[in-house]
Amino acid sequence: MDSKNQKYQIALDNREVKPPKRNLGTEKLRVIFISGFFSLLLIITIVLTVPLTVLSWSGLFVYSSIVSLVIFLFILLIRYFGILFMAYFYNTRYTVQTKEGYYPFISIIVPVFNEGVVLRYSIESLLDIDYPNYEIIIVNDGSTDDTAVVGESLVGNQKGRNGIIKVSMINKPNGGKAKALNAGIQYSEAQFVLCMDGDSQLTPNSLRMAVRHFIDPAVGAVAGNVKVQNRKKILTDLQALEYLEGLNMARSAQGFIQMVNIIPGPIGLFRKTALRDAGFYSSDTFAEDADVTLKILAHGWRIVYEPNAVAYTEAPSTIYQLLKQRYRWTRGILQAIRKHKRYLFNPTVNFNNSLIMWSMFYEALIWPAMNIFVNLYFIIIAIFYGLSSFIFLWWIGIAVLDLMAAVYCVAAEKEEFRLVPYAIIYRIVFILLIDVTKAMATVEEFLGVRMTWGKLERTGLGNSPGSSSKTVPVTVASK
Amino acid sequence: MELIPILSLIILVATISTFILSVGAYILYKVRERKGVATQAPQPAALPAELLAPAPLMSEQRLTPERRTFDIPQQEFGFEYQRQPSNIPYEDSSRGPELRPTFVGTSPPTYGERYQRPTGESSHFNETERPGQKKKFMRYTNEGYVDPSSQDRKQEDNLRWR
Repeated sequence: MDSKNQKYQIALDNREVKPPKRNLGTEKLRVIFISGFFSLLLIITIVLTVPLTVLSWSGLFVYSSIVSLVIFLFILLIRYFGILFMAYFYNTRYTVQTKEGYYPFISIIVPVFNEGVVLRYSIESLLDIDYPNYEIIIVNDGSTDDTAVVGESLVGNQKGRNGIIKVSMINKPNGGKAKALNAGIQYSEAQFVLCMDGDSQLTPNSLRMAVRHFIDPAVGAVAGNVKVQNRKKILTDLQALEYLEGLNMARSAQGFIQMVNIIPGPIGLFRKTALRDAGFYSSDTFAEDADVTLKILAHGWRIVYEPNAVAYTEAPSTIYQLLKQRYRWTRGILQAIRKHKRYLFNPTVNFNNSLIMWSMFYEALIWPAMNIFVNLYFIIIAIFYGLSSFIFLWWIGIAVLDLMAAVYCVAAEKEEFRLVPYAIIYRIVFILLIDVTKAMATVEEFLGVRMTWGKLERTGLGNSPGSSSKTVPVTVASK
Repeated sequence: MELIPILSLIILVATISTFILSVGAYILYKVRERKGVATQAPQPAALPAELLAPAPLMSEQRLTPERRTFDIPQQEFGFEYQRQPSNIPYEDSSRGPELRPTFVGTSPPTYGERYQRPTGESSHFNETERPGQKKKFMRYTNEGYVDPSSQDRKQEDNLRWR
């Protein structure tokens, strides 16, 4: 076996499918005009009608707040139990359904930017995958640390669990994650590509479990299960619970209707023809995973969820890092929604897509606003009207719902039971913090405030819980 | 029953504190992130890059080209499964990215043989009709491709969770 590596100069196709042109000035004027018009209309209606009723201003406040609360409670219960039931039905069907093994050739694309600390652990976890037919393509997106050196030491025909695994690397100028993924997809010869983050670690049976869904030719992509690896701190434990209860349970519910609306960045397996239909990744949003998912759905492909294709990722361990991440997520998702807004306002184009878009719009905009409003309402009536017991009753109700969902999610995914008590403070502290960030990010997105990618700090946490430790043999790269 | 007012006060204080913490943390985050945003340079159509790849194994070189690549046949639209009709207008493939990078200078001999640019036609086709389909279920091992039907399928291959 020749172990020498070879370097080639290549020219990557850097084009993207052009997004529809936007006239920012016209958009802002339209938003100002429409929102101003309706606000004025509402104020005039209230001013003219209140004297005609028996309501006083304080009475109007109480009445409208009660109506809003009832609506919020109704939606809360529908949302909770709807997601819970659909996730339960999906998991139940999953346990009785059988699918044969399917082992096509897969390329695993690992885009990295300044991931020198964690790259080796990620590649080690990929070499430990229990699958016979895959390769690894590292795409170094113009890193400024030792990522290129670490990557070069990993290139070669490495020993995997089921044979020899080819590890290649592309060094390209910095252009963002979307272009890095496109570069890897361009180079790949496989029918299927797994796109992941540079700091993620996959469990050994991830590929085997995820690829079986592609026996159905209607399936264009499979979303994996993302879990937090760096726990043992309150903030990261809360995020671990959030991933379980807020993200993975919702994905199970979406998997029930085969319309997962966001394939997570840490683990997503795509049929290359579906990606081609979607025009591959685009770099015009900060949530390229949401954008490509919506594009794939728009072309009629199905997207399913595989709970046993697990990727462990490093969650932010400080509030600053957490806010940075959630700010980018919120603005990125809103950019993706705006890019596909024709499905919001015209369900005849693709009704299923409209349904998914409206649910994304609701989760990104309406739900955080409702949550903030409810908490502010209870604070106001507690301080100004002395009704402090209401906030306690509200918290009890929400905590019971969250505890119930947490117990189900922990049991369904065989997770750590110690995460369940965090449900008591989950919504009142953690979700409120996230929702305030979301609200601020939403305002900035509508105002068109510029943003940059930012970079989460990596600490390097070693091997993932699901894989065995492994030393990667070093191959000598030759020029 | 005096417990409820105490707990209510605790919850009230926690909620107010969370609000203040959230707003304060966000302001600090914006202050810390405040830096000049560089204008993004226009992206070229082609980007020079460097590829590091191991030399192909001897067993790989013996395999037929169809093992890894696939030709997208010029097939008519024909679906065996129900799909939402795509109302997206056909996008000119010349505006989108190609599937393979171009090798500048000397290309490796094996890549040159296997590299086949697919046509820009639509990719909707029935997977069972694609060439190389018979290779789809072959297992790749150290001995090369092995028909998995000759091997016992493991129970864990099936989609059973418990």
